[in-house]
Amino acid sequence: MSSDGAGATAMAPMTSRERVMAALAGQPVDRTPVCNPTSVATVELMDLVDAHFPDANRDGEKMARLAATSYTELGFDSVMPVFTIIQESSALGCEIQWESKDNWPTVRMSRPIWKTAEDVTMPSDFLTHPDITCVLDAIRILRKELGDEVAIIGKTMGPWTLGYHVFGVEPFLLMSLDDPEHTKLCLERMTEITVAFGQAQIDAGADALTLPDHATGDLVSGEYYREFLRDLHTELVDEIPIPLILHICGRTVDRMEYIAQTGLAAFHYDSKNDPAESMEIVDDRIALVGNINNPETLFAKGPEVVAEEVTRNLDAGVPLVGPECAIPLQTAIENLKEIPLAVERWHKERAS
Amino acid sequence: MKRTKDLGRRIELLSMDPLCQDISVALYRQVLDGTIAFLVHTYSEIPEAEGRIAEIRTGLISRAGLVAVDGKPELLRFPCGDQHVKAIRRTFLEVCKLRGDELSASLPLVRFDKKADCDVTVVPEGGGGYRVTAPETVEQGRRRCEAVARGFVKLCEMESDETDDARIAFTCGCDHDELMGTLMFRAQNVRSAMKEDALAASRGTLAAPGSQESGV
Repeated sequence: MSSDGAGATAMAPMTSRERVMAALAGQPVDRTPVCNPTSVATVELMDLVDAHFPDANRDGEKMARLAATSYTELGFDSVMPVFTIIQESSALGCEIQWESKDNWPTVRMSRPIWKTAEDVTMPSDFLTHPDITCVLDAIRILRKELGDEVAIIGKTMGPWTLGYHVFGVEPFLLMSLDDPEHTKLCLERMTEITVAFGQAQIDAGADALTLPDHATGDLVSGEYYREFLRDLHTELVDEIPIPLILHICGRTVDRMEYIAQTGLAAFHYDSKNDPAESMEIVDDRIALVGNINNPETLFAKGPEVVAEEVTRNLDAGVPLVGPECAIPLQTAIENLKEIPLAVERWHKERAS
Repeated sequence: MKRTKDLGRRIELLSMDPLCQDISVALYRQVLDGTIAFLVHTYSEIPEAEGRIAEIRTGLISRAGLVAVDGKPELLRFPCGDQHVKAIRRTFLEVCKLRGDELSASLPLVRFDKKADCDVTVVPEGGGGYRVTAPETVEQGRRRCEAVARGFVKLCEMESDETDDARIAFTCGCDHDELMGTLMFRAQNVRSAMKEDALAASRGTLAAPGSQESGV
């Protein structure tokens, strides 16, 4: 955190990378970084750099080109080339619907590939699967092209999300009710996949990793998070030597206390959570990032409302600002550009 | 150097234009010396993109009644100077569904109505007012005229006449025959237009795995 909450300190200007890494480490920053731990790809940006979905999810060069626009065009302080949440699941053998330019690929979860913990194995060629290597290629390209200017954030899915993908949502949730111990064994085994992909991205040049683990407020309680995931996430902090940013959609204040106990660097949180209330719960033990509403604000409203939400987060002392989740692919560019502009204005107003 | 431009407020987007290699085409609104102007734009640099944008601009002239802004031919405006934002957004999407050679003329103010089983006509009454009519002999005629009028109110943000539910008017006080002709088939079935909007809005938003349709 900066020395006065989200406010600027009188210090030499930082690079975007320095700014993000300092905020993730809870250190002072020259201004609040604008960070996209999930995805800021849009159909117009795809046209701009001629890198369209679905190719930009499967070709490292296109993936890097599209990811770079977050920094070069929108003025964010980070880039994130792993737009989807299905790269690992594809490499594990799940059936994927890759969709088209204007929609997200999804796992056909109605056709699960595993049933029990005995099935949970990482294929020997997992890290050389094309849907994994494209991510590693993209990170290498971004590091080469952008150097140390900007924070490169990778993404490795947590075991709970992988569980939904490989077992199916309903079977996985039922298993957690019927046989919690067996579920924990599955989660432990799947965590090896999380670590392996994360480590490979670190080797490729990632500065930090997003850890989406969709124990979402609508399906899973805070107590569930404590029972099944808190300790696993704590272990991940020890195993993965760069900052981890946990992402869980939905209202999550009932688990923020547990999340704050893990030692993760940051929690990417949803607009369903009030910034001030969330900051009070995490109490400087973990950084918060995100919160700008996607469907109602970034997608459907204009820059004025975007600026209001940015201000609400900055006023609450949130240390990194950005969209709450992967932005809708149809989001207007002017709304995304408004986030860093609003951050700059906020700091200027307070400095004068 | 940034390649994205300050184009004003984006008010509508066609994510994928199947008539031009799935490029994304957007309609932007700008305010020029107090006048509302519209810009059709794509970030695509494929060779066909420029021609397609010109086709859509031509389509907006013929199907929405827009005119070029003096000295800035890339910008279009309504002759009345109003923005008619809902109507222009809908017309833009309709225009984008057509090839250039289908866009040269405006559409007539009369259409066959399946539910009434007769022609329904939109009669201009001047000063931005219109009356939806059908032959008096048709049983469902009056009801359908009122329904079509309500459709126009929703699609074009028009005002309805308190004394006659089949009469509607643009608040700008100017006639917009081209818009009325283009949106008449939508006014006949507003529900399908709204459904289309909802479907388009939900596309492209990433849902958490637990919220995704998994039956596909």
